[in-house]
Amino acid sequence: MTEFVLDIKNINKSYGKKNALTNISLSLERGKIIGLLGPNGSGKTTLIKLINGLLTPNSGEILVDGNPIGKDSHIDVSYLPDKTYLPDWMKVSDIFMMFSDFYSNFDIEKARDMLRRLNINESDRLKTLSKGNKEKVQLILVMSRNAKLYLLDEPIGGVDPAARDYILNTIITNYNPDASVVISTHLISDIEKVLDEAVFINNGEIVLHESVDGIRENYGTSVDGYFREVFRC
Amino acid sequence: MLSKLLKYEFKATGRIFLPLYGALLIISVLERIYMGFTTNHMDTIVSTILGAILPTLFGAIIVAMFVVTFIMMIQRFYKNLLGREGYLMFTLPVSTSGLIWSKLIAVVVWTILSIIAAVLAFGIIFLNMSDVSAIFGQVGDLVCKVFGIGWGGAAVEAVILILAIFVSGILCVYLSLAIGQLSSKRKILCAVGAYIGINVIINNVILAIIAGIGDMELFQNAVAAALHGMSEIQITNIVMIGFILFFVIQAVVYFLITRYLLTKKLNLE
Repeated sequence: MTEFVLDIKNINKSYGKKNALTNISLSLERGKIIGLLGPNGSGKTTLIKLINGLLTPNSGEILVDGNPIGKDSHIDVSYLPDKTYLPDWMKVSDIFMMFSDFYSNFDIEKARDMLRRLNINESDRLKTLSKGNKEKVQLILVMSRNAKLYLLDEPIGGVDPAARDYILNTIITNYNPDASVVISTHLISDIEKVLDEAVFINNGEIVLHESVDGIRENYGTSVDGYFREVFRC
Repeated sequence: MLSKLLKYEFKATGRIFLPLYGALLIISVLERIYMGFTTNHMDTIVSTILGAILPTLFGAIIVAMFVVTFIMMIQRFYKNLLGREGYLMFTLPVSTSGLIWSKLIAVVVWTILSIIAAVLAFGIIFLNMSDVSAIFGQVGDLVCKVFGIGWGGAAVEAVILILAIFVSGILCVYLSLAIGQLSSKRKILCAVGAYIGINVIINNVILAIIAGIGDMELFQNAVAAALHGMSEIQITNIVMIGFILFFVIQAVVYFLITRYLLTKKLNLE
């Protein structure tokens, strides 16, 4: 087992002439919940997609649990995209079967239990679910895997406050000393209470990586307050 | 992992093809029954209407089957891999080769099944059991004859050649789509451009090179020397294998470049 669950070294990524990420280096320890915080267009989603191999960097290296991005890293990363991505024609039960076929670390009983709690039927077709319920199904899939690195891109954007609490609660109670959770969002006040660390990203550069307690001590304000100070318009 | 990918590929495509095949066979059986009635001079309004509708439906389904096969070939690659669903497919712990193979195998299998379904449907309408056994007998005789006089190898090669042409055609489309996704704005336009470009290169440049070599006296003499004393069958074999290799090499090159682009240059929106 490597020291860091995620080790990013000098990543550069540009779309055409536009720089999306500039010389990013970031190492994440195990057993932490980390907020990836930044304004819209700061590079949060680009960074997460790079870790999933959906984009390829222009230069630099990314290691997940010591493995480069590929087949071996995919099994360790559980990823919630910021959009709905499941094939519409599938039933919830179909997609559960698909996950248990491909991911040896998918816990289908856990998934069924969460589904019941959120009042969604396994026999429902994804097409017939509301946007919020689709997001919940995606989150259930992601959180029911015993992965080493969870990457949640805007996990609470589209769901109601009650579900939001349930989701955050799920993330905390899912705690595993070997695994880390990265939550990307700009709704900081909602998730601040669950975070161990915060990473501030702006214009494709990391401007801060510090523990939440450290931010409170050093700057005398909450993460949300400090974020507003740093990113004042 | 390929078997699992295939399982879900056939699940996703089967829900379109199987109802089509079912509809085709039902229409064929109805048409057959209807033809039996009309020969018995049952001339009613219903039979007139059926007489107009059934053949039209039959033709429409046959056409639909092959149009759907064509659309599926593009759509399963473009939408399932390069669209939003790619977020799911490219984060599965599978190789890129596996993803390409699963799409390719599914298209080939559905095309073959569609041809079989079409033949079967025509058979249901037009043939009696005695015709069927006669046809099988004749085909059997023909096969025996072809193999008997030594042309069996060429016949098998012809089948392989058709398959090689088909597979390299599909992989050429895949490569074009993979090139198209490199563009962040005009993916489809770039894919079409790439397809035209690849075909121009293959048809003009490579064939020109081959023709150029063929024109050289040295080459012609060498070929004449090599072919000297060979039978017609042997020469046909050599030519067929040459063509097969030409398409197999194309297919391999398309596959490798596609795999490279989807592994090292993936650019999902």
